[in-house]
Amino acid sequence: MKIFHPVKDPTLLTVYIVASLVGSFLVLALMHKFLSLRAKGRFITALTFLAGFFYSLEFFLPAKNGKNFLTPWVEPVGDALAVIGAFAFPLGLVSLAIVHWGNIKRKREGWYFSLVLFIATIAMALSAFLSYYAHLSIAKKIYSCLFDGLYIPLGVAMMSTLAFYIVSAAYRAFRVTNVDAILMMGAAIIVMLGQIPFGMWLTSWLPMQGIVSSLRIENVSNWFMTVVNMSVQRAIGFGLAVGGIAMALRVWFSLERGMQMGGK
Amino acid sequence: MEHATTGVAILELSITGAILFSIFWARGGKEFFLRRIAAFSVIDEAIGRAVEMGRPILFCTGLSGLGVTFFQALAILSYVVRRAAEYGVRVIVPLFASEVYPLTEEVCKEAYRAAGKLEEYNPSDVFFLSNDQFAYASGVVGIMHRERTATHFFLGDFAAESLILAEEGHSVGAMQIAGTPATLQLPFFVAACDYTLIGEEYYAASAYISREPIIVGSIKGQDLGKIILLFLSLSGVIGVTLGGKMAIIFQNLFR
Repeated sequence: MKIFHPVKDPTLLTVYIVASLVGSFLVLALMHKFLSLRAKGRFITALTFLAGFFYSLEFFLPAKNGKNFLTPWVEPVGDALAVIGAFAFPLGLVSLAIVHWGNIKRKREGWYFSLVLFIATIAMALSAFLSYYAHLSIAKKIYSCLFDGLYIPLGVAMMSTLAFYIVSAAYRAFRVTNVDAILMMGAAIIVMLGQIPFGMWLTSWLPMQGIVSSLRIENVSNWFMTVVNMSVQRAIGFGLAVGGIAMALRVWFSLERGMQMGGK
Repeated sequence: MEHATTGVAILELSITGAILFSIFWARGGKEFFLRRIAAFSVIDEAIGRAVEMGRPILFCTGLSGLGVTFFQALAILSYVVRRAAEYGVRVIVPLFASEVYPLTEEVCKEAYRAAGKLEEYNPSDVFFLSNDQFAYASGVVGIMHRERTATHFFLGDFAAESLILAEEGHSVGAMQIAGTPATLQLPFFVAACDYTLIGEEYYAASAYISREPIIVGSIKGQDLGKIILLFLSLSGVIGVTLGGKMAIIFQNLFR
């Protein structure tokens, strides 16, 4: 079932966008005007419960060929949630603009970076619109230069710094200060040696088969990863899964009454 | 979308039942014991450090969007902001997802109001930074260096940027408390932060801070759920080891 499908016709698209914006703002304004704070809270609680109820019912009801009577509605409901979420996007942009405009206005340290942000935002948006709708080749080139030539390399450069951070974190983690650290360092050395040819060469004189073969460094390393490490990962995973269920239930039934959920 | 098999439905409903049972038990007046969690116990100490140094606190929710992980981070954020407001310390909250901005702003404002210092609330301390992973990371690192933050909280969903943030935070000499449900990032936080919430400790935040009986009850329910899983795991190990029909039953239990 496709309710929120893409519209190709520009006139229809404009009509849809304007109508949805006007309709949404009208609904929000009416709610703001006529609903008390308590009624708004109850409305949110009811909506939260209904949304959770829909997804859990869809999951638990028996399905034939992977579908039950609610399955066709999963996509439209998901799309509707994405549309609601999209309403918050301009708020984020406004927040970003306010912070950086304040930097420029008050000439705070590094204010020119804020200026770069505005210039980059306008340049990216303009080039993307002009290349997509007006099919201007110059706009395409500018967009490609900014996105492929600048934005992606900057992201990759940031990611590449991880290599150095891993070394410094590992140095601190493996400092031998107590028995636990000695055990951890020993395990780490075995796992690292098990991944490289030199490590495998160290125990290559041991037979490939039989009980003694378990002492070959690649097998010990594999045992650490698949038995010791995996069992702990799964234990943490079980705890997280149950914790996630408990938290989801608290949100679903609106039992989470902290300040973050409108409580005191 | 996948659907529940009979085995999965029974398991999930049992865990849900155990949690709801504990919640209603707590609602009936039963008091449950909540063990001490080091990372939560030092929150006040971490805030105090920022007060003594006269520097701001950085609260980073990572790549969290609107979801249960973010709600837990908000529970801790509301507490941190309220305590920081009482002592007049700024809390800087850069956000990854724009849809969480209005909620976060409202929580911070409410925390200032609860501390009786609404007039001191600075709206530009809570802001949307970027929804690109590494642009967000570089932005947060920049804030650490410019503002010379004294205390860092890394609570929420994190991916590869976790180590960049934690290591840079360590290099500026900040006290760091971290927690994430992303198990792959936990070793990085353990290595680079002073205190780390491991596993389901992360989801105990609101119970630990509010001490609300109903929420503490749900934590007890989590323990019951884990007992069910432990029993199933042990039965599975024994069943598969014995072999024969038992092994087939356990291997197909959730299929």
